Amino acid sequence: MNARAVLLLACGLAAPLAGAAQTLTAGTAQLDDDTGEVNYVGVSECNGTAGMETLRWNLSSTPTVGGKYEIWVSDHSWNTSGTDLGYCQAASQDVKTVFVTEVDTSSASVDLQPGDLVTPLAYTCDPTTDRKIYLCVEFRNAAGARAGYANATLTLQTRPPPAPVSVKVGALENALDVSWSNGTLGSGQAEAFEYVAYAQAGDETSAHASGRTESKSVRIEGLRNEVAYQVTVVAYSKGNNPSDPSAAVTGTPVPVDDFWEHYKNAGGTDSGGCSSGPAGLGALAGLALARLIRRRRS
Amino acid sequence: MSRTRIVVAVTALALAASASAQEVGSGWVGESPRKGSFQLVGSTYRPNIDADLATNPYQDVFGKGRGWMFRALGARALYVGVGTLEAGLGVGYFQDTGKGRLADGTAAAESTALHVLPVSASVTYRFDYLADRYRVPLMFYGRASLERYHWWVSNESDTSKESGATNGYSFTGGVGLLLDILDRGSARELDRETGINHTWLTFDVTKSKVDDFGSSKSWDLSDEKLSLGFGVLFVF
Repeated sequence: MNARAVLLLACGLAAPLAGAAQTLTAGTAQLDDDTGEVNYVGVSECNGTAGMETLRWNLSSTPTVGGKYEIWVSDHSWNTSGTDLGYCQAASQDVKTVFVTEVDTSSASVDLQPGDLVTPLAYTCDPTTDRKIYLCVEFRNAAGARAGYANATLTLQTRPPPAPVSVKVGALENALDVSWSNGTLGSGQAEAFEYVAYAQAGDETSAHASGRTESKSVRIEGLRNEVAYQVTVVAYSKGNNPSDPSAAVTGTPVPVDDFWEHYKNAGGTDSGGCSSGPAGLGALAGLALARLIRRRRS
Repeated sequence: MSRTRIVVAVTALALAASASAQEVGSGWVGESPRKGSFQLVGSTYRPNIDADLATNPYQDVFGKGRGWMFRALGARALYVGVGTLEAGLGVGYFQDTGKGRLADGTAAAESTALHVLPVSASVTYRFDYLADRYRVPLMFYGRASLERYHWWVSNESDTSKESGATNGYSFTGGVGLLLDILDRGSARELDRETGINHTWLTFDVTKSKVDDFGSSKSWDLSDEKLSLGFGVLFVF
């Protein structure tokens, strides 16, 4: 589920509150992701090798100093009705508590290891299907009363996408133009979300990588002309799980004459720059004035 | 349609509009003072770069077609009487994009582009006396301009760029059709609210010579033919 869906869900949950005589306030939460899709937990995040990430949330009212946020996770959705609307159910697991010391907005965040959201639910990091993690951020005021919540539905996805296929390489100047297609989705595989293309020459110890892209074509820069590179493409799922590399294809950057170089090769005499001819409109105006004066004197 | 037919058609339209205007009895009473003009022009353009070379590098890369150059010209009125004399400045833009060339001369996958940014200082005489005096919605104009074409060549990877400027001059002759005749009420309201006295639809022909005044060390950015342009002129 992406961030927009989470937002819609939260809005849907918030709507019944308007007519209810309660003080509960609704909000949304989101697990940021440097790579992959937000609100997805991949295999490297599940097993703790991906480092810390930021969980952000906002409530529709301003929390009070002295209160605290409690972060809960569950394999069941939060309460959708009654006085516990928006709060995780009784069987939920407490993950973390954040005390409110200085608050002037309804937004807050905490850095945490995504695996900490998985462990309390006894999920393993190699499921064959996606699993949902229902997250509740509950605010309790200084008196311990519930005063607001924010929710997010996270997806534990540890399946990789299939390796890209039909990789094609076009020769550019000091660069290669790489395009590809998605591989056939097999059982136990997730859909591709982003891609990175790599090019490595035989005498290089590391590959040149393109930036991450959701497109199925990319340009790899900074290569040497007339040098053969082995090009591969790796797909990543929304959970940032990498596919196997595609079959390697050889590509060789070539010198390309742009129009200026082609013009010069054809014997063009212009040397460029503003030195060609009088410099600037001022010079042009001066030239016109000089001719006018000469004409008057004559 | 031949050029002669176009001129005949425009003249006929103008005379018909003039007759119509006289019938309703509207004129230019209450017009705000004229201070200058602003013109937007689109014209066909193809630089004459290949003219002095044994091969055709421009055609190789960009093909045989003509592109479009767009310009904006602002001018200040120096004289308003029997026609209008104006001095002004203009700026425009032209771009042509094609494929770079491999060592064997064939087209590469990488694109390259020529960009031209012309700036000009010009003097324009506009014979709009017929429209002012006799309500004939036609005018003729001539313009002499000093031109400076700033240009640059780019490629996809930005590994090779060249830029420069080439100077020259141009002469333009054109005809205008007064659009105010379509709705005189709106035209007068536009004058009251914005100070725009008249709006003209313009057609012109330009002969340019932009080669650093014949310098052998400069390429020729003159249009290889007469440049045909059309635009809208606002007199304010």
